[in-house]
This record gives sequence, C-alpha cells and structure tokens, in this order.
Amino acid sequence: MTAYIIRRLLLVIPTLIGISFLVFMLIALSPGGIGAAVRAQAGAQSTSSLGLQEAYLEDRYGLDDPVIVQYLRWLARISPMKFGTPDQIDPTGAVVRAPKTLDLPPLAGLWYAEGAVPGDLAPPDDIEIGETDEEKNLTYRAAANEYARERIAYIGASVEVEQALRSYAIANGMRHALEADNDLKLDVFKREGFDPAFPEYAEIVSAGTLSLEALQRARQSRAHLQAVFDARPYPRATWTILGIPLRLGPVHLATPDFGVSFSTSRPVVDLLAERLPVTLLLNLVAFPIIYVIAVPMGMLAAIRQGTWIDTLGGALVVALWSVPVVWAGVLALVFLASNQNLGLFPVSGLQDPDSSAMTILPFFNGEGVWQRGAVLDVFWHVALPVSCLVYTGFAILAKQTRAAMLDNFNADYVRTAKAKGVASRDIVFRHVFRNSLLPLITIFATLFPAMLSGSVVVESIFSIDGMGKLVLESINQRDRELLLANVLLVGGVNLLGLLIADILYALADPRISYE
Amino acid sequence: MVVDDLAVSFDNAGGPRIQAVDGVRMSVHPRQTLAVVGESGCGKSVTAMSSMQLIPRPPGRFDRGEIRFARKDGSRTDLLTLSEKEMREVRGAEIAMIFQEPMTSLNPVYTIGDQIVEAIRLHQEVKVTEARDIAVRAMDDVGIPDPAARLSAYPHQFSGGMRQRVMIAMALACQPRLLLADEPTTALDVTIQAQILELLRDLQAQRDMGVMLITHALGVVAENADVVCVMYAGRVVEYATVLELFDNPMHPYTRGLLRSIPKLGERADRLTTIKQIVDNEDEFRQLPRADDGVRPWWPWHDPPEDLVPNEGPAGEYALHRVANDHWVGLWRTEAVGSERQDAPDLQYRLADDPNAPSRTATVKTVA
Amino acid sequence: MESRFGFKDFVLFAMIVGIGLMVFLVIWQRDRQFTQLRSISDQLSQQSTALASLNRTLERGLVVSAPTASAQAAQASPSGRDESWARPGVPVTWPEPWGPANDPRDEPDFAMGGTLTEIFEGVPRKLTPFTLNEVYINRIVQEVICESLAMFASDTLDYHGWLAEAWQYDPNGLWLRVKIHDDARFSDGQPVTAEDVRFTYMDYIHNPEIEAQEFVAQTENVQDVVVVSEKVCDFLFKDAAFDNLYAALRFSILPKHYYSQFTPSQLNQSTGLAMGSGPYRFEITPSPANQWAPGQPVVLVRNENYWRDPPFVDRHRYTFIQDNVARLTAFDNGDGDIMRSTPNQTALKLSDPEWLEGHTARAWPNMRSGYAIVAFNCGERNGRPTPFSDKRVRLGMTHLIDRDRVNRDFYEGLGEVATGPFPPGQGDDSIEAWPYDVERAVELFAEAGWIDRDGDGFLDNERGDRFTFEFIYTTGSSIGPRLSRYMSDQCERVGIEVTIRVVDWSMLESIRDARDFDTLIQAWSWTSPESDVYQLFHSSQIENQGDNWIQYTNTEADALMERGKREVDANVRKQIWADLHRALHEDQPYMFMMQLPWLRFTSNRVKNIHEYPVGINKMEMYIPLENQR
Repeated sequence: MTAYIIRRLLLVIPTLIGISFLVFMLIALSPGGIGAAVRAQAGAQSTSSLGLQEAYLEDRYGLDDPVIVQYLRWLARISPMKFGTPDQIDPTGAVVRAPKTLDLPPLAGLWYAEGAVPGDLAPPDDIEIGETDEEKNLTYRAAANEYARERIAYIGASVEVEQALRSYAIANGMRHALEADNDLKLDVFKREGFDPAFPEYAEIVSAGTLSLEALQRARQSRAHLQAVFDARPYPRATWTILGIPLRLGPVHLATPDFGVSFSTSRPVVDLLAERLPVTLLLNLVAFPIIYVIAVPMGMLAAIRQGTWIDTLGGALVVALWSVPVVWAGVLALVFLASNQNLGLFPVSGLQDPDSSAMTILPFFNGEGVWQRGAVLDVFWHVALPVSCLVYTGFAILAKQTRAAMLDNFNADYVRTAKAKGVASRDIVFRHVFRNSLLPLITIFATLFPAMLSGSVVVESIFSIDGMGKLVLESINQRDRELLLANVLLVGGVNLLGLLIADILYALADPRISYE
Repeated sequence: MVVDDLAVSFDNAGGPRIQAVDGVRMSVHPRQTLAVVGESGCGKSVTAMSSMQLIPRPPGRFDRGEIRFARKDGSRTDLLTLSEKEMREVRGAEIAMIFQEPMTSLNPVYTIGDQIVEAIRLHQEVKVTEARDIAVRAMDDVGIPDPAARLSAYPHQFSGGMRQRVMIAMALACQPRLLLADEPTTALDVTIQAQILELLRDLQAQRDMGVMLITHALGVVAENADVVCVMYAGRVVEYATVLELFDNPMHPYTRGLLRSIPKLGERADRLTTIKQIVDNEDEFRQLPRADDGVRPWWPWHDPPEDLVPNEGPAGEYALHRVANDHWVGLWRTEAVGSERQDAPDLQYRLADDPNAPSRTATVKTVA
Repeated sequence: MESRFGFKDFVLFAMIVGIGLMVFLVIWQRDRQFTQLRSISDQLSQQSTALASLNRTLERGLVVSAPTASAQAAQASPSGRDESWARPGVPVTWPEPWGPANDPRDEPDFAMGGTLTEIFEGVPRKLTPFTLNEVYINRIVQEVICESLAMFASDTLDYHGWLAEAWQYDPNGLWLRVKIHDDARFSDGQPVTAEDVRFTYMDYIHNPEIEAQEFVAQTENVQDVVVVSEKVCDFLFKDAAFDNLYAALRFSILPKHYYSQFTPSQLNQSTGLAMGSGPYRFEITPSPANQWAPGQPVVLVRNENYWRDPPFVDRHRYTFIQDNVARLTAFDNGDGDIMRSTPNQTALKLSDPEWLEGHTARAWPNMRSGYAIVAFNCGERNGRPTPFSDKRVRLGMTHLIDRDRVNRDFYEGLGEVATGPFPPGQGDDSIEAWPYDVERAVELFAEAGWIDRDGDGFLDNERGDRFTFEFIYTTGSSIGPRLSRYMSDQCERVGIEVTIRVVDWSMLESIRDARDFDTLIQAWSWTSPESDVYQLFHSSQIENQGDNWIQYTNTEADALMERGKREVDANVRKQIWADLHRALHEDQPYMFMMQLPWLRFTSNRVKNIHEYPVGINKMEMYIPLENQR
C-alpha cells in the first residue's frame, strides 16, 4: 500500500503541470490581458501616459516575452529546484534577483549606421559594497533604485520611438504596418525600409537616438547593479541543512515562489494564507454537520422504508435541495439576521468588530452577564453561512445512504446474520451500514475538494472573504499568477481527495487491495 | 421439530395474497436427516425459514399452524409464537441454518474469525480469547486447514467449498440441536459437494443433531436422507422413508421425478418428462383403494366428484397415511375422511436400520 | 468487530481532543491578555516620556515672544502676515483655512465622542497610500489619516488651505511655492516639513520601484519639488496646465521618516501602511508585521496629537459588505451609520415612514458623482464610416430617447438628465437638455440622408444601405440590458435596425482600441470640481490608442480644450468651459444620458450631515451623548 501511495503522490506532479499549462495557455489566449484589468481602474488618461503605463506593466510582469517562455519562467519559479545563480534574501524577507536584461529599442540599426548600437557593458571589477550589513543594504538599495529610474527612462524613450513609428506609418499610408489594435508590425518596416524624405522620419531618428542614449545609461547602471549583486550584499536564498547549502553544481534548492498577484501586488501566498483558513473553517464545521444529520436520516429512511418517516424525510430533503442558495441566503439574512424580524444572528463577517478585546472562552463577568467569548462568537457568526452551505448536501448523502442500505438489506449475509441470532439493531449498524460505506466515501471524495473552491454565493451574501471569492476575483481580473496558484491548489486538493478516498476504500472494504 | 399444518402467505401488491405454503406437515428427529425435495418455488425454503421466523412480516404472514420444537432445556415450544427476543436466543443456539450461496452469505468486510466469534458470543458468555479458541476448534471440526491463522482471513480469500465449511462451522459453533441446510451444495462443484455432505453426515453423527436438508437433487437425497418429504405447490405430496420412497413411489409426481432421471445404460430417444406422467390420468389411479376414491392430490386436476372438503382452509387436501411409513397427499374424499391429520412422524434412521442396504445401493437404485 | 476501533474508543478520542483544544484556547487567551497588557504599558510609557519632555521644556522656560522688529521690517505685506518666504513680485494667496462649512459646536446637543461606522460596498484591497487607485483608499486614507496641502471647501469648492498656510502661483503656471503651516504635525508628533512634500512626490510617487503608476500619470506635470526651507517648498511644472494646482495641492503628504524605513517591495506588498498627519489614525502604528489586511474592518481612533482642533467623533469604523441585501440589513440593524444605496433601495425606503423616523435617504449630485453616456463612434469602423459620423444623426438619436423616462424607470427618478461631461458647477448649467421629440429625430435623420426609400419599413441612405447599427454593453452592466432594449425599441419604431451585443469587459479594451464598435454604454465619474476632457474629445488623442476612441474631431472644440488646459485664471477658464459645454452639447459626441447622483442612507443618530457639492464631510459630523455607543 505504501508503494501505491507514493506512486500516486508522485503522479500528482505531472498532472498539475499539465493542468497549469492548459490554464496558462487559456489565459494567454483570452483577450485583454492584465493591462486591461489595471487600466480599467485608471480611467481616462492622455495617450502618452497610457502607452508608458502599458509598457511599464509589460516590463514589470515580463509580458512581452513569448507565452512559452513566460510559462517556463513561471514553472521555474514555483519549483523548489532552481538552476543558475541563486537569488538572495534581503533583511525584510523579500527575494532579490539578478537585474533584468534590457532589450534593444524597436528596429535598432535601421536608422543609423551599423555598429552604432552599443554593446553590453561588462560589470566593473572592483566594487565596494560596504562592511556592515547596513551599508551593504544601502548600497544595494541605491543601485537598485538608480537602475529602476534609468530603466523607466529607457522604456519611456522606447515608447516614444514606437509612437514616432506609428505616426510615420499613418502619415505615409502604411496602414498595413499596424495591427487592428494599433500594435506595430515590425517586419513590415524591415521589409519596406524608410523614406528620409518624409518629415516624420526625422522624428523617428531623434526619438531613436534619444532611446539609444537612454539605453546606454541604463546599461551602465545595470552593470553597476550586477556588480553589487554579485558581491553578495545579502545571504543567498538556497535552502540549508545545518548550515550546509543544498547545492549540486548548477542546481540548488530554494523556496518556491508563487509570484505576485497583478491586481493587488501582493504575494499570492499571502492572499491564499488569508483566505484559506476562512474557507477551511466554514467547511470543517459544515462537513461533519452534513454527515451527522444526513447519514442517520438515510439510515432511518432505509429501516423504516415505506412508512411516513421515509416519505416525509425524502420529500423534505429534496425540497431543501431545490431551494437555491442565493434565495436561501437572502431569506436567512432577512428573517434571521435582520432586527426587524428575528435578529438572532449577525449579518456579516466572521467576528464581532470588538472581538480583539474579547476573551477566548465564554465566561460570566462581574455582573453575572454572560460574555460570549471569541470562540463562540466565531461560531455564532458562522452559523448562518454554514446552514446555507449545509442544507443542499443533505439530499445527496441521505438518499445515497438510504439506497445503499436498502441494497444491502436484501443481501444474503444479512440473512445469515439473522439466522445466527444477531439483533436487528446490530444487523443495521454493524453489518448493513458497514457495507454501505462505499458510496459515502465516494461522495466524500467529491465533497472534499469542493470544500476548497468554497461557495461563492454564500461568501458573497455573508461578506466572508474565502477561497470562492478569491477564485472568482482572480478570474474576473485575469490575474494570472493568482489564478494559476488557485488552480494548482484546487487541482492538488482534488487529487489528494481522490487519493484519500482510494485509501479509505481499501480500509473499508478488505476485498480492495492495491498490492 | 414438528411442523404442523403450517400456512404462510405473502402480500402481492395489486393482487390477491400468494399462498406459499398451505398445510404443510413434517417432522425431524435427532440424528435424522429429513430431505425436503421439490422444484423451485414449491415452498421448501419458506417452510425452513418459517421455523426460524426469518420470513419478513410484512409482506409475509403465518396464516395458521404450529412448529413445535424440543429445546435443549427440555421444554417444547411453538416456534411461531415466540417473540423476536426469544427467537434470537433460539437462532444459532438451538436451530442453525446454512444457505445456498456461500459466496455471498458471509459478510465481506469482516474477517471470518470476527463472524464466527460474533456467532459464539451471541449465545455464550465467554471472553473474546475463549471465543476465538472455540472458533478455532469449530473450524478444525469442519476440516479447515490451519484454522488459527485463517481466523484473520477475509471471506474473499477462501474458495467456495471452504466458505461453505466456514458457514457450517459458524452454524454449528453453538451446538444447535437442528441444522437447516437450504441447498448447501447446489452452488458447488460435484467433488466439493460430496465432501460437504460427508462432513455434514459426520457432524450429525457426532453431535446427535437433526438435519433438514432441502434440495432438488435426488442423488443427494439418496445419499444423505433418512426420511424424504416431497413438496409441490406449497403442500406435501409424499412423505416416506428413503428406501420406501425409492422402491415404491406412490404419488405420480414422485414417480415422474424418479423416472425423469436419465439412467446409465438406458437408451432412449427422449427423456421422460414429469408432465407426461402427471398428465396421465391413469397414474392417479394406482393407489391402493383407488376405486374407493383415494386419489393423489394434484393442483392441476379438477377435484374428484366425491370430494368432502373439511371446514377451514386447505380443506380439500389431506396428508394421509397410505401405508406403513408412507404418507401421500390426497384429495379429501369420503374414503379419506374428514378428520384432521397429525403430522407424519417417522423415527427412522438409515444408519440404524439393520435391514437397509448400504448407501451405495440406494444410490444405484436411483442412477 | 470487537477488535476494531469501536464507538467507545471514538468517544474517548473525541474527549481527549476536546480537552486538548480547551487547554490550547486557555493558553491563547492568556497570551492575548498578556500582549494587550504589554501594549497598554507601552502606550503608558510613551505618554510618560512625552510628559517628561514637556516638563523639562517647561522647566527650561518657554519664550513667548512678540513679533520682533526684524521680522516686521522684512517684507511687511499689506495683509500684515509674514511673507518673508515668498518670491518677490508675485502675489501670495492666503486661502481660508479649511474648517467645517456648518460648525456644529454651538448646537445644544453637541458632544464629543462616539463611533461613526460607514459600510462600504466593496472591500479595499489595500490602504497603503498611492499603491492603488481605488475609491476606498481615497475615502478612508485621504482626509482622514493623511492630509493634503489644500482641500476643497465643502460648499463653495474653492481651494482652502490645509497643511499649506499660503502659496504663490506663477502667473505663467510653471511653478508653485507653498508655505506649510508651522503647527502641522504628523500623528507621532514629528513636524510636517518641505522635505516630506519632496519625499512624497519625488521619492515615493515618482519612484519607479514603488507601484504608484496611476498617480504618476496624475502628477505627470510635476517635474520636481525643491526644498527652499524647512517649511517652504517649490513645485516646478513641465508646462502650464490648468490642473497644476490640483496635482500639487490635492495629494496626501506622507511622513518621510516613517515611509523611508520600508523597502519598495514591502510597500508594494503591504495592505495597511497608512500613517499621516490627519485627525484619525490606526490605533497601533502600522508595520509590515502588524497592519490591517482585507477581511477585517478598519478601525481608526482619534489622533491625540492632531495639530488642529480635535475631531468630534472618537472613532471611525469601516465595515465592508458587498451584497446589497446584506448591507441594507446591517444598516437597518444599526450596524452602520452611512452606506451607499441603490436606486431601488432608495425608492423603497422613501416610502417607508417608519424607517424615515430613524434614518434619512439622500440623493444629490456632487463633484464626486458621475454620469452615464452612450458613446457614438464618430469616425470609421473598419474602414467604413458609421451612421454616427454625421452629427445630425447623433442629435437625432438623442431626440429619439426619452431620457426623463429612462430616469424614472431605471433610476427611480433620482438622476438628472445630463447635457455635458462636466460636474455641476463647471460648465454652463443653464443649457437645456434636448427634448424628447421623435418627429424632430426623423427630420434630422432625413436631413442626413436617411429615408425609407424602398418602403420596407427601414431607413436607407442614397447608396441603399440600411440604417443599422450595433449596440454594445458589457456583462455586469446593471442598466445595459434594459437601456439597450429600450433604445432598440425606439429605433425600430422609426425604422432603424439595432443589433445588441454583450461582451465581457476584457473585450472592451480591444474593441475600443480597434475602434470596432458603433455605440457603447459607459459611465464616468468625477474626482474634482473641474474635469479635464482633453483625453476624451481632443483630436490628437485619437491616434496611438488614445482615449478619444470615439474618434471625435471638432476644430472649434479642440481649440477650446487647448486653451482651457493652459489657462491659469479660473474665471477665464470658466467661460472657456461654458463655451466648450455648448459646443459639445450641439455636437453630441456622446449621448449625455444621465447625471447619476450620490445615493446615501444615513442614520439619524449622527447629526450635522449635509449634502455638499463636495460630497459629505465626515469631519463635521457629531454624535450626541445619548446616541453614542
């Protein structure tokens, strides 16, 4: 069995890679991209700043590379095995990488003589980064900031070149050099060359010259930064065991980096860590409730098959299932939470706003008034959302239990047990129920991953920020990093759920073996 | 155990009640094997299961009758009147039953050790370790090799024959007085069949146990039965000792059964069918005193003109002693009389009979 | 069955787990009490140090001096105030110091204290200033935690001084010298200096490592900020633009000593590093380890170090409920004092007299509300001109739609028919909206050449093309479905064929960039009393994927927009905007559909709430003693 489990766990990795590849490609193909999400918030802006912003975003998130390169880069980031120069970790815990490379401006070489494009500069040899950690930090920070400014200036200059190329194309009837959304088709320019007679040509040349100067300056500060980086101002990010770095040649082990969410600029891991416990809380409370209520209900319906208990219970459960969660949530809010009606439950959130001042456990304070305590407060807040999550699950579980048990009531071994003299209660619980577990385990395998995708509707109505809303928001915002991390998480949990279900099958039914 | 005028009927949704058993009488004595023979649906399983109240009620219902049983403590009770709680004490401890399908008759999720121990601990106040010892001994008795190790094995790890042995071990673990075996070997192959039946015979001899063997195979009857009860359509049509039955079958149905077995050495183009025989009116006039109106009862014939039905249900039918050690199911005509009959009671055991030929001879008679 | 894990074992196990959990919870509770005790003692020790230093200062003796002769001799100005810091030759503006437009301190039930709760309809993703351009950062951080150099007066929308005591604006619009108030202090007691202003603009907003790109665009024109003296700084602008003052005076000034301790990546990733000079602050000064994160309500306490008159209310609390029903329920329950409502909710509550006893439903347009439009593609679409390239057709469309009815049916009558892209007060408010006049519309279409020539019930032009267009709205638009259906009904009545298309918002960007549409529904909102429409309507913004994606060209309007952009004198500007308003009204590049008011529900427990052109002013509100919680 252990070999089986290990094999299954190892199979998770290629499955997840496949899923992430698919999702990545789908997002890449979908219209808009991140630029759209961020720009949609910004409102109307002048042309020049729009172009700059877009270029800036593309640069920051590496969106101008081909999709496959972006995918492989992402994959490299999330894998613990890393190649090449290790990153470093600064005192605040952020990862510091080697400075990014600079691309040439568009069509460099076409408007001035060959060989005038400056080459990459070698980093200076002797670089003083200071003695103490404090000094090293300051040196690096200054160098990083300088490079960032030069880089932005260079990007701005590149954008100017592009604008000039666009004006040239429009003025000279070269509409075919532009895509529908005004992107440049550079090979058209390469093919047709430039006619110096047109006035716009001079603009291209001047913008190009400025951009090359900006490139030179940017390259200089990059070389400086590279030198500072190579002098190792910070400790390396490689994992260590007892002080020995886990490194073998070009390969080393370091913490996987799930990236930064575009829409909020926060690390994806932080967002997940914020939302996951909420969803887990809701579901860990909901799960046992569903099972504890639905399974005995199903058992009772099976034992008393055909009587009014069976019919009534079945009808009730199906009726509950038919009520859409949206409506149920609103009803619960209006009738149970609003002070105009019953007002028994809170309207939103997970905690009372003053909960940080509350004690954890309930107690009676000086005047004998009962104080709720933070733990019970959370349960009180969670009561309505959990009820909305739970009632739909009753139907499936109760009906399945009933059906499985009815099947097993007619089994031969029940007859044998009766013939041995086993009491009917023991027959039901020990013999029949034990054999009816398999469908319940199957349901568990599907419910368990559903736990983590959460229930968007319940979370929206009760203003609880959980995984469901996170996934939905990441999709709406086309937030690629967050979406991929979510996909990995959901996929991983799904696979894990299936594995647990398989293990439970083996435990529940001795006929099943994985040897 | 004596079954006296048992009638069991079942609910039929949307139609009249189905009478599964109507006026059955038979008896089993210690160290005696009563074979109940008949085709599928004749009511033999229902009779056996009624004695342990294993018929689900509803839809089943005991219309009338008694099943008198002599318990270990000496008392005689009517099994049909016992409450569920009292019945549970009887089941397994006094009467045990084994079933046809050993594949599915054992609970697949528990080890056989668990299941046998469960059977033991239901009726005996013993600790788990003692119960396991008893279980090991029971398995040993039925011939399961290495029983101590097999205690923690699951049913699916056994072959069919082994499983039936386990069933028998489980059934006999509490030393019941009566074993009801409902077609125990029908699902097994022939060699295993012989082993199991031999096992049953040995155990019966060791423990003074009565066995009601339900089967539809006459070969099995010939090899194992002391007394035979032939049933058809919920009623007993013939009841005799085994030698008597095979030598002198009186009811046409029995004759049909016996004659429809192909015999080694006999050449024929067509097999004799039961229908051929029971459709033949002449066959029904072969009984002694046939002219007085003694006719074998047959549901597909019209009742004779001189029928004098009794008051009450099954009034047109009577199980009447026609000869020594031989009962036949008859139409209740004047000749038969209108009194109520008693259950046939034969204390016969072939093993004890000095005059009986060996079993193999009986077998030759049949095949 | 005996040998297995039985029910009794399970109960035992559960009990052990339960007891373990209880022990853990008790330990946690003790731990939390301990942390709270420690923070209280920290605060006490801080206060005692402050008191001690105050004592020492008093012991040394304070010099309360009259203005000396030298100070008077230098630059004695007509107003008698000290203008020694100003550049010569340019008049100094001494704006009104900002204060409540309706001062409630004379009210009989006035009291200090209480908690003011506002329920927002969305969750802010961050509160760190300038890292995200979300309305919630503006409402929670700006003017509450942080302050800017100047502020709009609630009622007149003039610039009133806040952190700035006075300023000098170059008549050519190229520089602005600002004098910061001598008393201005951050919430930790440190003074607000010119260095902080320079830091905010040059080292924070314009720092490429900090992701403040939206604010870079808004302060694009600020070339540099130069520190002249401790309390005086110069803003240098790239060129004269009418919103230079806005760019320099309306952004929160951040404390350098606080923000410079964080690396750019810490700031980018933070959610709640907000500290400033404002009347309220987070109870515990935020740090990366201890800051607000989404999922909790925001609680701000009164800044005891506030350098002006202390604010009235003790605490501000902000909770976030996205679902409309849940929000209204919470508000009715008394969990909130201010919330934004929907038109349906407003109409519902306005007819509920019992509710109106304890609450007020408000609807009013102001400089922060917005307007809804239908945008026409005034140029070519995929090489062919749309019907709307002719201004008569656009005007006809506007006449074809009964905007009053739209107001009644879709906005519960709470909006106002719009005539232009300007907030109330900027343009010419006397312009009358085009009336609903179907015959006039048909006339205009006929003038433009659209007549039913072949009797098929649809209008055609000379070439025989049918008058057909596509109406696009995005999924998630609340009025898109209904408005588009109403418009297509109206159009079909006069013989225009309309196809409706719904697209996802992400498609909208590429549709607009490619100018691949006929009409679009949009809504814009304003952020200041004067809205610059240059990006939207100037012809230079058509190329290069500019925001004039309706491809509107009008040389007269172009000239007006250019002049207005450069005009420094506010009165001259007002005239220019009025002319521009008229020109746009005649030309209808958009169908200016509706001015959408701000809709708010407020609780009557809170007093002195007024509906201003600037919005509402939380700093004026107070809570009488009996209503305080």
